[in-house]
Amino acid sequence: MRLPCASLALLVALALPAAAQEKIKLKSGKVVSGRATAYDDDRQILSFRTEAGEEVQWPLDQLDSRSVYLIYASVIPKENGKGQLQLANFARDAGLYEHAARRYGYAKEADPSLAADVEREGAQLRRVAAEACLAKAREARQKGDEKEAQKWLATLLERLPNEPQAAEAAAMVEEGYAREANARDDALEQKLSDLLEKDLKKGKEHYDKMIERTRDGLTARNDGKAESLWKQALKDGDVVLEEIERLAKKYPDDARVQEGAPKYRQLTIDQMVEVHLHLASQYTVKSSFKAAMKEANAALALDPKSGEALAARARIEQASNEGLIDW
Amino acid sequence: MSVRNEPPLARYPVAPEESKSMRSFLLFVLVLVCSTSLACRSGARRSEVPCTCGTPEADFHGCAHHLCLAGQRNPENPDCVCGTLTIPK
Repeated sequence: MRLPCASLALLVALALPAAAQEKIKLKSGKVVSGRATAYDDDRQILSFRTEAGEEVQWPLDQLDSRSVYLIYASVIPKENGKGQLQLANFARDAGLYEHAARRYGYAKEADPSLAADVEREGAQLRRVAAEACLAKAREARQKGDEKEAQKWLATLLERLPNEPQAAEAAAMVEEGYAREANARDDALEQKLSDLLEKDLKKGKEHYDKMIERTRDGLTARNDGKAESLWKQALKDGDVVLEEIERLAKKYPDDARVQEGAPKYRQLTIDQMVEVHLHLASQYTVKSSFKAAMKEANAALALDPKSGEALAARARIEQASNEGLIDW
Repeated sequence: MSVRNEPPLARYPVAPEESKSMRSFLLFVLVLVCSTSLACRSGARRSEVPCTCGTPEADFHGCAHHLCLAGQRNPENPDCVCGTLTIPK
């Protein structure tokens, strides 16, 4: 009996320190491990016992805004409508837009009389989030990272299509999307120029169409049109993949073809994954979770390791179980 | 039946009790191992999604890490703001 008890005690002893540690971030960027021991709401001071056993006290203005948000989130109950509204405003001003949206939902649920305040503050959230998205896109473009810029523009168009900034985002997509996407296969185009004139012509035409249709879907003025364009883009992608297979079989001894085929295949798959995720995002916003999940799974079937597709699927599962966070 | 009338071994039930508790312990360990391995298997797919708290993407889309989706804080990431801190009252 002694042996099992000792083993259990050892297991518990081994598990405890790991479970007890939490990390807090200071304004300086320094991360401290330990455990919060108390919070003084009146003086706004967090007491903390560090991993080394030192007792420290930090006024909230010495902490990183994320840590401050975490402390407020720990002490304001979900049932406190006004508290949740203030917390949502804090999250919004700290740039934690998704958290802010969730907290506005909690505030309205806890106290329906706050609906008008939530609506007003929520409109402000959408405005600052759209501005932040556009700023990120501009910053990326200035650095010459058009792919990153297009990612932020797509986020703005998908999440906040009714904000005034969406018009500028659409213009930037119109102007830069195809240029960036077409540049991805520039090196291959040069290498395979003669094949592109003959055998690869059909595949290349569909590849270019797929990119155009993805872009047009992003800037489409209504969801139905976007959906139709993206579905056509996926059909183009299927044709491109078939053409690549056909050529790889037709020229088994041509090193250029055998080397170029996997690269074109990957480019095509990346584009198709992107299109599936645009569709998934659109369906999620409309709460069509089954359709959204189907698109996320289709993206994963093409690229099982796609981090974005895995994350999208997890978010859709979550939204399907617990409801969508309404921006 | 009095102890006196029992066969000699029955009066010294130490060995059988020890094996009984040992059996219980082994059973406990077995259940623990099974549940852990099952949990790991079901968590394997979820754990493919890294914690992105602290990135601008997560600020807009939320983090899809399994702890964050469960409303818990990822203790490994100091920028994680999902869930709460444990603060004694």
